[in-house]
Amino acid sequence: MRRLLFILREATRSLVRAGLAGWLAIFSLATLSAFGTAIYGVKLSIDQAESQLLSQFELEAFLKPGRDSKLPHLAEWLASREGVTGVDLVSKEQAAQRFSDQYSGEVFALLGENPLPASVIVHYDPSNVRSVWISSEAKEIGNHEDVDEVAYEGELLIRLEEMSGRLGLSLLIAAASLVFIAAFLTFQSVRVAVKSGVSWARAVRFVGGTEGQVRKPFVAAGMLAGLIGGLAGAGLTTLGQYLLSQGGMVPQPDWLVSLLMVAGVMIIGAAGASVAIRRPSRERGAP
Amino acid sequence: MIELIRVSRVYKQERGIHDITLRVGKGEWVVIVGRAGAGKSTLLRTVYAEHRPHSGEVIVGDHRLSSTRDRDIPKMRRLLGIVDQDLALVQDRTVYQNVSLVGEVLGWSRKKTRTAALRVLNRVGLFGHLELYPSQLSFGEQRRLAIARALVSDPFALIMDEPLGHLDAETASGIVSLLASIHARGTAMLLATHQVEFFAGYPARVITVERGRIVAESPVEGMS
Repeated sequence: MRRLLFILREATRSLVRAGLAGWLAIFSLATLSAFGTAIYGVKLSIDQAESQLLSQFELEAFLKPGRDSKLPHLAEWLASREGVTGVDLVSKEQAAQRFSDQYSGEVFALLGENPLPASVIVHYDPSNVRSVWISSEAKEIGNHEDVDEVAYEGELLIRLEEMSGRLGLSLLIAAASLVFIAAFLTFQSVRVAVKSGVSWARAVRFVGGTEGQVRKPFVAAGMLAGLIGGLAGAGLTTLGQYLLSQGGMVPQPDWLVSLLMVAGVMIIGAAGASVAIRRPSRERGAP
Repeated sequence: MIELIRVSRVYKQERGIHDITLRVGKGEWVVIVGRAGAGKSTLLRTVYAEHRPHSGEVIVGDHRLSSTRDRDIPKMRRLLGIVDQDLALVQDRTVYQNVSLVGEVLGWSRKKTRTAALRVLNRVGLFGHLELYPSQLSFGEQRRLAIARALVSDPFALIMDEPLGHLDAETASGIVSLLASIHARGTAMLLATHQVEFFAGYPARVITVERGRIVAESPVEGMS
């Protein structure tokens, strides 16, 4: 208990002693956690937008001529397929009405009949809607004995997937660059903060302190800086996302991810301090 | 007892110490003299194992450095009072806190730490400066503070590098008097200095080091 108190007390002192460098370390860690949380928030928003678009996706299976009586059976078969969330039956009459609403009903008078086939509109779970999967799904449905042809917005799906992929890659590159820069700044500021404690470290060694007693307070100070910076950075970003989500602009924040972000910057702070303290503690190279 | 047996620690351009054999017995006072770069500091740092010798053996009490693991070096250092030339004072701690750091590191109770710290601060003449910070002290007082910290754990030997550096004659004499009073209580002394004249009249053995080797040994009165 006495040792733990010693570590905590010296960690706090070490951070205070570091002054501006300590604040810089906290600020870098806050920035790092804020970036991390914000980028994850953007990713969630993109995913949500994509999911909303994909939830509009539908596939229409048209019956072969003269098989209108098979419509309920086809609908039942389609509804039982994997990833299907619902089906809408469209009779020949409904198809004609739909056509008339969109264009004109005069064509049916001219033709003297309704040539439009009955169909089943299939709705899918957005998480299942992928161009490759839908392509094989459409092929399989098209092979059904009662189905004449299958229609869906395949081109749109491919474009959506391409755009999503590009956005994802851009986010990944942005996240990696920001994390690299922030981690570098964090390491440098933690290193400067540790340097300010060299006299303390020498004093502890001179009076018979162990390497653990020298290192642990610095590592704890790095963790403390990470905790303060992480709570400030990730906390504020998460709070901002939460407030925006109340207006439906962005999805709800993932609190677990925010906590993980805080834990992550605590680890970075501790690692930075751990590496930095190794340098001044090395054996002197010259008399 | 501190003993160095044929100890070498060599840096670039032959700097360092070469084949040094030296013994500091119980209650003995040894002053290492030499010019800058002669190897005095290297010799002292080898004794308190800030670096290990390249060859030879260093013995401090029951500890043989060659067979002492890194993690056991602190135990060896606790037998010594160490004052390096940069003093290593903690600037954001008061005089009292600098000295009580020893008790915190060694896991003493508050009462034991307070008693030991106040006693030693009284001995070095800093009892009236408990709440001051090192930057508020004169050079001589800073030196006394470093000595106090080194003495809190009642070591059998005090090792001090350039105890009189940057001090005026009067302050330097005061520090030597303090060292003499510490020695009179039975603490062995191993000091490195280039100002041997201040030790005239004290029962010290003077060892002259040049280019990392011992070139002369005599009582201080015998120095010319």
